[in-house]
Amino acid sequence: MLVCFLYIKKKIMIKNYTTINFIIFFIVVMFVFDSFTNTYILLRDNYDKRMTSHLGYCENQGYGFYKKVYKKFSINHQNLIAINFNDAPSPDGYFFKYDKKNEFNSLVLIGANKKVIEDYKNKKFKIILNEDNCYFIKK
Amino acid sequence: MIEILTIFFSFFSLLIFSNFPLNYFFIKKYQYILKLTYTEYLLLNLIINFNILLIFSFFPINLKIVFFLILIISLSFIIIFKNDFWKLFKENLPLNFFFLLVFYALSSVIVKNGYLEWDGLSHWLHKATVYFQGGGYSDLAGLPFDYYPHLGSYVWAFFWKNSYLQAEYFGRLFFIFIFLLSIISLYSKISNKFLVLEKLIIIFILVYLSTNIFLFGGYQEYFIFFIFFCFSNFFKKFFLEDKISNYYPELILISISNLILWIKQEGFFYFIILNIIFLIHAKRTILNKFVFLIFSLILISILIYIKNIYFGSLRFNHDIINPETFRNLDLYYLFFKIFIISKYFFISFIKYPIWLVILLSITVLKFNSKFFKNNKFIITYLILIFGFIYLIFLNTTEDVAWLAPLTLNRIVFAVSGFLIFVNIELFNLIKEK
Repeated sequence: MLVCFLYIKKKIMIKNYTTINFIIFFIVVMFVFDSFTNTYILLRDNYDKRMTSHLGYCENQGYGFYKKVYKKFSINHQNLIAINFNDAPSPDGYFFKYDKKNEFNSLVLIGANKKVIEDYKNKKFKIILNEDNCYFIKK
Repeated sequence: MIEILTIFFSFFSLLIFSNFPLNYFFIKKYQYILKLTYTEYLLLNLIINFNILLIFSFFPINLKIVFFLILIISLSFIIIFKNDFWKLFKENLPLNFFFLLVFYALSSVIVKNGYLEWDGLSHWLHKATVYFQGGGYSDLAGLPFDYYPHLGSYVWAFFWKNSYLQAEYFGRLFFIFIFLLSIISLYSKISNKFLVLEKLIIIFILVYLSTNIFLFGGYQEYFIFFIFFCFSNFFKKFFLEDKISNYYPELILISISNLILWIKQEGFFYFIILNIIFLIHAKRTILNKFVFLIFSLILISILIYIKNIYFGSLRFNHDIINPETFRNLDLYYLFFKIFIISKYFFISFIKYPIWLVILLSITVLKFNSKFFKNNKFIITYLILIFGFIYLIFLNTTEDVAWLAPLTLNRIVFAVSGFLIFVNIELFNLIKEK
């Protein structure tokens, strides 16, 4: 980067006009791809904050709720199965461990309505954690 | 800050990775059989490396060791030819800077978002995770959509494992790299009558019109795009003249088409289409074509054999002959479906405006130059690929009005890689006139 910078500096002194055209072009390229905003967000927010803001806590993919349940209830980092009733995929893929078993007696339900919960209750599941319309249920 | 630095580390490690095994200056000095540009050597190296990775994906090989071996050997060559590299760097400074800048620009979007889109999360991530966590090919059995090809996920895991932060999204930056490298390799094909800045603007237009951030969310479309691009690039370079007297070009084409079999399910049919193009349009002897065909059949047999061992059979989402095939005999129903598919074709062209430029370029070149006299393979490609897309959507058992808006545009985009170069021909024609 330093070498590149020094070379550009030298060029700026020699071919002032052409160099300014290039610099304007490069700034336009950055602007078109929204790089300045993206860089600012990268510097401001950490990964978890960005993921929860994009994927939602209980809405959308329910990333925030799933992560909370996974941290709190997954014994020995076993794979917890999530069913997402929102129009989005389940977030369990982010936490998948191929060498761990799937925990079939527990379920994370994202965006579930009351009828769904009643159905699971009839199948002998108990609610362990509930926030909004997200549930962690266990047999 | 560390994430921003990791983007730059990823760029340089990808660049070093793509300088192996064929070092441009070494080849130029000692064995200059294939006259390619520097960026074409990078493309070729990527093709070779992806084939090597494909073989490694079936064995329990440590991804870190492979990466560091490649890096050390490649770096050694770069150090040996440092003066030549420095000269090349200086001569193409604006282009180099542009490459780095656009790579950063697109990567910053991926890293900022961090998340995966639907298919990326549901279909492809699990495979990448298995490889990232040290699993092997046999561990893919039992995963969601385990019968889907795995190469894209393997390469994703490879760069994920070997990124500085080892975060999933850094593994996906290689999609950006191969996409940009493909288009930047066209720089040398732009007429020298253009100024450097004008050339960069042309490359930028092509990059901008071909970019869809959604598809970097774990989809394999840019990998397919890259394969199509490489095939048309090397086919045009070596097979439209009779001059070449060695078999390297054939080996290159076979290596390229082999990859497509292992990226996506439809790759099987793309493989057949690419083979047909070779058999019809390559200026080679019958014997050459026959040997090429044998090699292709061997590659398909290997695919079927491996799929049989691990997943029972080579499966597709739907049987090739299914009840829907016979329903299409009802003409009213058939025309209705053709209308729906055509409608979404049109929408796809608007969604991916690079297609509008491609279609414009083809039309202008057709009526204003003799371009198609030597490039009839483009017409064959268009007929075969559009025919194939119509056939898969006519034959699907899913409701086409539901499926076409979801998937057709992605397929239409991926196959555009084959035709990107015609845009450069258009710009050159405009400049000449």
